[in-house]
Amino acid sequence: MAKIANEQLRLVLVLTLIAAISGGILAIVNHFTEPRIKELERQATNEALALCLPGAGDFQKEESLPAGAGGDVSEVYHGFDNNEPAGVVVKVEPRGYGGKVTMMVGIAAQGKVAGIKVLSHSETSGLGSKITEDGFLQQEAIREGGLGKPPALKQDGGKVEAITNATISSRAVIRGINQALAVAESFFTSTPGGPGDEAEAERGDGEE
Amino acid sequence: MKRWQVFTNGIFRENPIFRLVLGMCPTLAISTAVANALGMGLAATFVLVCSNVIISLLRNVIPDEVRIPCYIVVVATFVTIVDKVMAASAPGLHKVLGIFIPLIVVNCIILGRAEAFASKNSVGRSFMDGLGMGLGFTLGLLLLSAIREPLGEGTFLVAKDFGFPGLGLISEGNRAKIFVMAPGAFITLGLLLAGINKLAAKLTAARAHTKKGGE
Repeated sequence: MAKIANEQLRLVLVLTLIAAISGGILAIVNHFTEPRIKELERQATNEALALCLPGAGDFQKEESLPAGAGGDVSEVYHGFDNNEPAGVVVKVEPRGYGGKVTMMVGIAAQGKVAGIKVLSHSETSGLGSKITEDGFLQQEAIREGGLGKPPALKQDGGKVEAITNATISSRAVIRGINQALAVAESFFTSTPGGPGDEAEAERGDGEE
Repeated sequence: MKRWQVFTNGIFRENPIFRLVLGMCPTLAISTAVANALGMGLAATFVLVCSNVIISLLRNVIPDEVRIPCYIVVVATFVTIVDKVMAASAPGLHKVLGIFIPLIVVNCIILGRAEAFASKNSVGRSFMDGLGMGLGFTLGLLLLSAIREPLGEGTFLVAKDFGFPGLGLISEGNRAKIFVMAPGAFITLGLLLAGINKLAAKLTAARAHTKKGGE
């Protein structure tokens, strides 16, 4: 009996020891790599934010999403230029053809789309993957979009030229932009005397 | 078998990709660009060499009944080290390889070598085996990606992390995108496997022939 118990104890001890040593080694590795990984992530986010809202110098993350935000909205940042609000950047993840399209949409305080960046996607290579290209994102109908002027694909009665053979991917991007605009609107109109008034005025002679 | 033979064994005679047909998941998924193949190959080689050495060192300590969990803990430790270091030093490559880095833990080549070789051989021989198998895997990945990247992306040797834009070989309209997608992976691998098998058969036949002629 004692021999069997001893043998079993050995199994437990060896495995525990190996796990403990590897845990210790990993803690040391983590100690050295973690700050660098965090820093790289922060840098990547800041670069994307600056690209979407070129007028803003620093950004502040909004802690709570506004009520009524579309289901694909995941993060909202406020941009500031010398402590003056310069607009918002909204991170949205609409569903495309191959999965989520993670993108950031910057909306300037005047209510216009200031920049769009697709961070990651899994659309078909060579077809839907063109949503990241300037040929699609920089077209007039999208750049002119803004509060009261929601962009829409030609197929859906708008002016945006969809990517050939990738209507679903194109539509996902447009949906993302529109959800971002809705979030921006809720912020702009909730600041009395702020840029929201302008947006409202612009809306008056818009399509509505 | 001499140590040198143990080393070359993994590269030619028992090449993990073309002869043993192991580790197919990462092979098919990441051989879309030469830089990815090199990153994945070297990561796997590092894990293979380290885990082979440690498991060989511990082969008399680890009880038979719990050897598989012990191997997995050792392999997982090295994989996590690679994962963290790569995330901190080459974030672009880390993002592309994505889930396939953590998945090295369950790569059949690594557990296979631990079980079939390192647990029965000396530290020196296990080191050579790990190195040979790792480089054999890397060479296989490089061969696949050197075909897929130019045909599918039209470029060669793109390495964004190191600021190298790559060589443009084929113009936009003439690229066959299928080669960087899943079907292209299977087509390329299948043709390569067929070619290498044919070559291996010829070599064996030739060797048998010369032996006969010599007698």
